[in-house]
Amino acid sequence: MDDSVRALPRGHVAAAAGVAPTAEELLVTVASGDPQAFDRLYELVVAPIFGLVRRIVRDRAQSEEVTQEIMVELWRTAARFDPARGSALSWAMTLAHRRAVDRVRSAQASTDRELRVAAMSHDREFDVVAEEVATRLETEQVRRCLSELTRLQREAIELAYYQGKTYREVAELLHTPLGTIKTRLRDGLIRLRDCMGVTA
Amino acid sequence: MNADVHALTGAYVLDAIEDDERADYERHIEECAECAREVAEFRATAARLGAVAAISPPTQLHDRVRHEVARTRQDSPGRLRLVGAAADSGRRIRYRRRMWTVSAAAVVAFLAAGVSVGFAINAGHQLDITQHALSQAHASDAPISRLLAAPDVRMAGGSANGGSVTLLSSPSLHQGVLLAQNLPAQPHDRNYQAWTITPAGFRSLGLLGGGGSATLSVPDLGTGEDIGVTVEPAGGSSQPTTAPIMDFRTAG
Repeated sequence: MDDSVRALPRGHVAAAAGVAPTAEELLVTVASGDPQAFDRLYELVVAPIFGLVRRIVRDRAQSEEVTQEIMVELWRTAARFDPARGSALSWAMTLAHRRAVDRVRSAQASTDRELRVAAMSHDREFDVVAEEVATRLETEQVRRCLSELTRLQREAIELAYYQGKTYREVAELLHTPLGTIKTRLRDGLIRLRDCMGVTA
Repeated sequence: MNADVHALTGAYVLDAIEDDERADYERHIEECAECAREVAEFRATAARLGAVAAISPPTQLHDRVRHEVARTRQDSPGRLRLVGAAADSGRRIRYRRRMWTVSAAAVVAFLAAGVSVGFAINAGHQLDITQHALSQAHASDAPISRLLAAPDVRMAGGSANGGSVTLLSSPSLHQGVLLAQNLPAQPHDRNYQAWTITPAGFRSLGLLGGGGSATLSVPDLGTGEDIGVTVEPAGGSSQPTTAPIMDFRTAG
């Protein structure tokens, strides 16, 4: 894998080499009801989706269930994808994150006990998260960019994005004022965006 | 809009805000092109964070998804134009359909408050349930009173061309009521017809009149069913003859 395609999930490598349609082209074809195009799209996006869902939902069986719902939703709503407004992966991952977060929030809505338990053990938890992120990163770029954040920016983004915490929960877990967390989430993303060279 | 809302962009993209704040923020980005661009950039950034966590799922998952997809009707671009024109401006990337549930107490509170209540159905488009429509229906229709009193009353709905259809349903009563509001008037020889859509086909739920407001009792209603509304010749059709102007799923 050369540097130019490192930041892309596996399926995109073939697309970058010009031997297969891109996820964007596939989504447009899927919108016309083509199940073969959907099979190929599935291969391109399912691993990033399942990985993200696993990270947030944790439980394997539930993660598979949520991933299935997300894939069916991609099929159902493919006609809404507009290639002019962002990549197919960005679209799919936005949907996936929301679904995964919905699942954990509905499971946790009844109690704040877990939050208190998590608060007691949060230092240990962060070490594990940081290590998992570091070992799982498939791209040097993302790892480097995360490492350039302040600790508070990084922890806040990881808790929100990878664990599906609300910013209120993040503030509690990090013993930091709400306003500060809001600001760190935003300026952390700005720094990541600039570091990754992302344009909309 | 104040700087406080503006500062929520990061939390919004990371799905780290509560539903009420989400609604506020989405109103904000309607008027803030710069915020909308930042949201798109942050989403692309977050997608990179997500993609590095990639894990291949078990191969059986693909079979299960294929099976589901084979029996799942796609949203058509035509319907999306009707239903989601504003919501689909691309400044949000959200699900068009979303179910929600409310408690009977909440419904009664809305009635008592006497205000128009907007429920976000998803890609941000709004279903307005006015105190007028609900209370009018409530007073005139015993099934609605029973539904509103049921502990598991749920709402789902869709809208098109300024009109909306709301479904109140209760799984424990196996019943529902469709409330149509402000549906655009059809010619004399046309009216609205509601359907459930299942893998086995369409089942007519009945007619919703030629426009304006109407209520329709729906006995034997299951959960997780797709509901569609079409325009049909007066008297109704045995199967839909036009594309649905809206559809939504009953809360499961």
